[in-house]
Amino acid sequence: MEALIEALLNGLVQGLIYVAIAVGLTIVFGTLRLVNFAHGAFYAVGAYTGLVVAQHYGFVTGLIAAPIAVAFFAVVLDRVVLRYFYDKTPTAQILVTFGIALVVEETLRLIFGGTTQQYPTPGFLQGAVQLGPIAYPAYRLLFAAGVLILIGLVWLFLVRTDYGLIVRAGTRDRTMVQLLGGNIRQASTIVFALGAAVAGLVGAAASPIYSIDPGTGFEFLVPSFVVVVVGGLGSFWGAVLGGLLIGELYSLTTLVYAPAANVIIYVCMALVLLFRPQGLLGESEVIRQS
Amino acid sequence: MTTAPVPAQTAGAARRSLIASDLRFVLLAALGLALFPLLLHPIGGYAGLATQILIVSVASIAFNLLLGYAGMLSYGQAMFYGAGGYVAAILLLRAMPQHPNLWLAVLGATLVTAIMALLVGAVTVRLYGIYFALLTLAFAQMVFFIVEQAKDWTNGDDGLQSIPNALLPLGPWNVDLEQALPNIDLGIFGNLGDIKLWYVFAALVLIAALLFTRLLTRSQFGEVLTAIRENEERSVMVGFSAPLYRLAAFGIAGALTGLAGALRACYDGTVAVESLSIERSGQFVVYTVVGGVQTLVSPVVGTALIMYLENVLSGRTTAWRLIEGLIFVAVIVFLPRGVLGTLLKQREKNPRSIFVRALRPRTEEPDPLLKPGPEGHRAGPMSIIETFKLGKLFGHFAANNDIDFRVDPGELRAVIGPNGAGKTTFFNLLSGTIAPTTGSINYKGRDVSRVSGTSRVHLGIAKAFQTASLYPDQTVRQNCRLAALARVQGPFALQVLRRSTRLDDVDALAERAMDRLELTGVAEVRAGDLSHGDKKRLDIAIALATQPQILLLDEPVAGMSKDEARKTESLIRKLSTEMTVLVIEHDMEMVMGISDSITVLHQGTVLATGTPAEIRDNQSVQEAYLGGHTEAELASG
Amino acid sequence: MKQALSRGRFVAGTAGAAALTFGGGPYVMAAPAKELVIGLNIPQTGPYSDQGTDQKRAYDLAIDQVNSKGGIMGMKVVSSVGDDQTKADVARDNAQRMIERDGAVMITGGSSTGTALAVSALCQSKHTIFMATLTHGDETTNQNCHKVTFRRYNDAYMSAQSMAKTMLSKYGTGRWFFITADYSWGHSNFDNITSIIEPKGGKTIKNVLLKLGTTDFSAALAEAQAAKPDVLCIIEFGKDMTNCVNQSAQFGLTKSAKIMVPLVDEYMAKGAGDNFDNVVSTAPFYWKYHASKYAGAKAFVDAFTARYGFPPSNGAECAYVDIMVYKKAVEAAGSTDAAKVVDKLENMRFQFTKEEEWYRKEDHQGVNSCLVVEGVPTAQRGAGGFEYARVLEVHPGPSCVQPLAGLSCKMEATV
Repeated sequence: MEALIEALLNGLVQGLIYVAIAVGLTIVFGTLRLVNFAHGAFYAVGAYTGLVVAQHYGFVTGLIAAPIAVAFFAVVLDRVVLRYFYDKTPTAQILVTFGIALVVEETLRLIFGGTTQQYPTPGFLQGAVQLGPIAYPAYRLLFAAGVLILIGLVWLFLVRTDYGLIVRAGTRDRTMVQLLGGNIRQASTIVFALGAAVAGLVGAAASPIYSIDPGTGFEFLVPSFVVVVVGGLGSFWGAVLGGLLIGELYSLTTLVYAPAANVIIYVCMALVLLFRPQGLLGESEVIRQS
Repeated sequence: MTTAPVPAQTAGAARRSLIASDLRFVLLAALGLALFPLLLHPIGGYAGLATQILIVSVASIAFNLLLGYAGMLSYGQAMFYGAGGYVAAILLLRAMPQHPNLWLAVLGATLVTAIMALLVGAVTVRLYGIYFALLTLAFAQMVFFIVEQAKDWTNGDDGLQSIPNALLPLGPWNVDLEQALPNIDLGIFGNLGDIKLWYVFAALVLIAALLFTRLLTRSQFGEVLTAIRENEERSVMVGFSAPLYRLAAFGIAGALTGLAGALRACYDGTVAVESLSIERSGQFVVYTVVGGVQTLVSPVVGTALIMYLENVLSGRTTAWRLIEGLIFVAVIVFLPRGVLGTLLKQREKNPRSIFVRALRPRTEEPDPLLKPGPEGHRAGPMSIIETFKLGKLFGHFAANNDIDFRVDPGELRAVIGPNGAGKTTFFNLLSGTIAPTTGSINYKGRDVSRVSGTSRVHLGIAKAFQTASLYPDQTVRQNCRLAALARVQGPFALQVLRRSTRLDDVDALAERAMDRLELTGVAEVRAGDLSHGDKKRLDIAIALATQPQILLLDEPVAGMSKDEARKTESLIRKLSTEMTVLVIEHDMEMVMGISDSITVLHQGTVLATGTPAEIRDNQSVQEAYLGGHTEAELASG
Repeated sequence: MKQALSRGRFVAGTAGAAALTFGGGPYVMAAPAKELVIGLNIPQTGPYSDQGTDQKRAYDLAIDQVNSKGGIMGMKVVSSVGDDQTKADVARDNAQRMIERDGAVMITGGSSTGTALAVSALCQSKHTIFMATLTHGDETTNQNCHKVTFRRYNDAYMSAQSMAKTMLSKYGTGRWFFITADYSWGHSNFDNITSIIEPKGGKTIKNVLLKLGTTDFSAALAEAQAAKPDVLCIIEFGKDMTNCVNQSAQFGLTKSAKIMVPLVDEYMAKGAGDNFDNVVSTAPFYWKYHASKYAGAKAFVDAFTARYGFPPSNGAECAYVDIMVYKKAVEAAGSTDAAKVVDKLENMRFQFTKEEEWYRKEDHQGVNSCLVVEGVPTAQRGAGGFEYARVLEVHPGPSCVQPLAGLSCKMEATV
């Protein structure tokens, strides 16, 4: 029984990481129609930025610095390379962002070395909390709460602010929004930076749990794509649902039959792509002009 | 001006010159490959590397086939490469450790991966773009993890070592490919004795692969594959089964990739799980993109370049993977045609690269949910097409609703109605582009509601699009020939070696279609360069080339000048003497002038049906359509 | 949209890049008779790049020292370096290149058993000596042994023996919980350890098998925590080990149980930081300890520190000695011919940084001592954090090496 509760909690924590990464991915796809294979790089850059800052200025400062640095990095990337690819086919987008991810990973390896690093966690956040029959690490609980709040904030941004409105309208019809005078260019950049910053923050915050190495970006990217596909490309709540689903699926499968855990999430993605390719919460039909 | 049919003599001469050019290609390739290891030597390469480059190039060529010719970006080719390697290794280790036979190992591996590719393909090729790429990635990951866990067979993470050296039985001899060529010192080009027979064998395999791909891209199969990539919507509505072609391409590419993997395992003597990894899949992408998806040979160039750089740089700097990544990004951003493509500076006018195409803004991606359906039988009246309570819902919006419609053979029926009335949706339902939500469609007495658009073309229902859907980079004649080809060969034909030019009917059908739409004068003009009016007529000619019994024309004269419109009108009227024609039009003069009868759609349902005179006098039609304009205004157009 | 690069500029750029790349130094190609080429096949990228880089430092030091004394049999030692990326296929390709293109007569380096096995097989087929550096799995000199392959580093059996014996004597038997990497190295460690503790009364509560490369150990650790073991034995290596140790700290297990890992080096200990405090592990060499006991070690450590500013890891020491041993064997054989050198390696004794050692003829496993160490807090680790442990016990080679009776090594008769 305890093992089951532990597995569910672990699945929640892992799932929330996927949610945080997937939310950024899916918003960017929904508004910019950009398939970004470099999204995992934001996670990694956030983790390393946090590490460097935390080693000198403390844990909390690291958590603040990470998303800022990553947002800046994202904007630079957008201006210099990515904006030329917004109107290209997904093929070209996948390829260029894949290349960028490679470059980022190797640059991080060059700077920080290949061995896993440990993220300095303050003492008061270590140790376990007694939850009934089980003891669960305090930091993980805090992390889970933090991500939930973060997601809530992103959601508020999307529904309450003008930028968010433009972004959501842009998901439906980019051209229309431009014609209506909405500054979709600026909103797009902000959205992109926001998605990246969220990934970067989570990268830094999750590092005490998972440790950091240059390959982390890709490690979390591929399952995040699975999440985005399962939830529905472009759907915010789809990313949330998908992330939690995949996280729990992985965790529970590890409990029951560990060797199948990695396979099962891809089977899940394959099934969704085959029977409901728009994802669980994605849009169902494309309206054709008559 | 009409052109006479191509005389048989010239056709024969054309074929001979093609064979001659093929021979030249093979000889050039052989020469290049013979020199390759020698040229590699002074710049830090060695024979073993050259052999590996050749073997991996076979897989890159397969990837190029998928991406460059079929337009399919697969992020999972490693599953075939690795599977080929493992199957060959397991066969050699378990089935024939005493008498390791290279043919059997490689053929066995290729067979297994071909089946694997067809199975995976059956499931994946229905999807496009990013969905397809991700699904191939998903399958590749599944295979990776399964192989990693199947330790009894594959040794898991430790991989299979000490694979017995397989011999190549050739007639009475058993050739050991580990033997070296005779020892002849060639100065800075190294020693001939450094090169093993393995290299010669790999070169032969690569030449065979190149020749096969060359023939394939020129073949009937390749022609259709290219057409599907160029304009899938049109290809489907001309009668080609896009899913089957994509499946075949995926299967062929998978088998070739498996062959490469098997050869590599036999050459290396080991196989590891890394051969199934995402990195491996990504490597094929890098090799091919850097080389350029432009020509057949460019993936070989890309593979050689990157593998060489890896080998040379990795001994010199730890930043070599970074350099590789930077090169890759630079190529995508600056050299969309790849290295070789840029060096050869292909004409901008005839870019067959998926990339040059990628530089143009995207058009609507095809509906990934098109599925064929079974055919039904129902006895019915004499009308050629009839619908019963036909309806189509998009979400909550009813584009078509409760439509009962029938038209008799040989009629020229106009379908009119205000914007948003649901006319194009109706045509799309009739042609099979979309499936009805409610109701049914009968064609010549059979229920075809669930029959796919592709199949309906072969039944005799052809459609011309509202916006002309052509193959912009092909000539007018080629456009018509493709449609005629679909008619003659059916939805799918695996003619991978023979060209379609040997099919005389195809030429005849195409000629006739062009002639009927008076396009023979521009037969050799590139479709994308045509005037708007000519494009519209070409669209009709394409539909005509499929020998339809009922022709659906969606606003055939829209955007044309008055004169052009009238000319096209009379062509259409002539067509209607041989077949049933349904026309959506806004041009009232035309509608009233040529139609036998008119159906008026309004807000998704049929408002009225009748002769032109009846419709003109119909009050509710006037109100709905014209917002209360007078009869006089209607008559003056 | 970016303009496509003009052809001329592209060609110029390529030529420039080519000049830069190839202009930098000559290739090592089938060396002239006065040079002896050694292939260094090390992980310069990938999860063990720190270990690989440190090995390279040691190789460079060793080769320079050898050359300054006239080389090997008067021949200058030249190295051909390759990055194996900790991938078996790449390692194998590198070795092939070093032998075929560069004329290497000996291949060394590596940091995983997977790569070692691939390189070992290749070297055997090429009749080239392979001094396998950092490979810990038994297979390298057991199931997959080869006539050309020699391994000086402790194997899993030796570590397990040493560690278990020390644990038993120092901390008693008690209840053990295992988290094991699910592949051959993990399994052999588990079998080795349990075969020692169980006869003495140690109880194995559970063995959780986890896939190689697992990042999240929380499920296993949660089970461990619930089981309240006396000893938590984490049979993981490298990044996996660091992750698991760090995460067990989060579960409070570093305080509530005694943690053991089969093998450690200076970089892994650094990665685990304070969480490595009180963790018990093994190493074949520890610079601080050996430098205080053996003049040879002190000389090596001093030279290394003088050159690089910090002390060597245990993998680096192995790399250094591999070169020295090879030199000695070649000079004793009077030739670089593999068969003759193998003969010498099988029959000679040597001492460079530790006590007197040798290779066993039957499996080419190096017989030398195994240290059991215990981690200290980072505050006590000195500048740079290299003084990561205290030595609990030293087990002489013959006492912990795998008995010949249990070997499944079927070595070739000749090179």
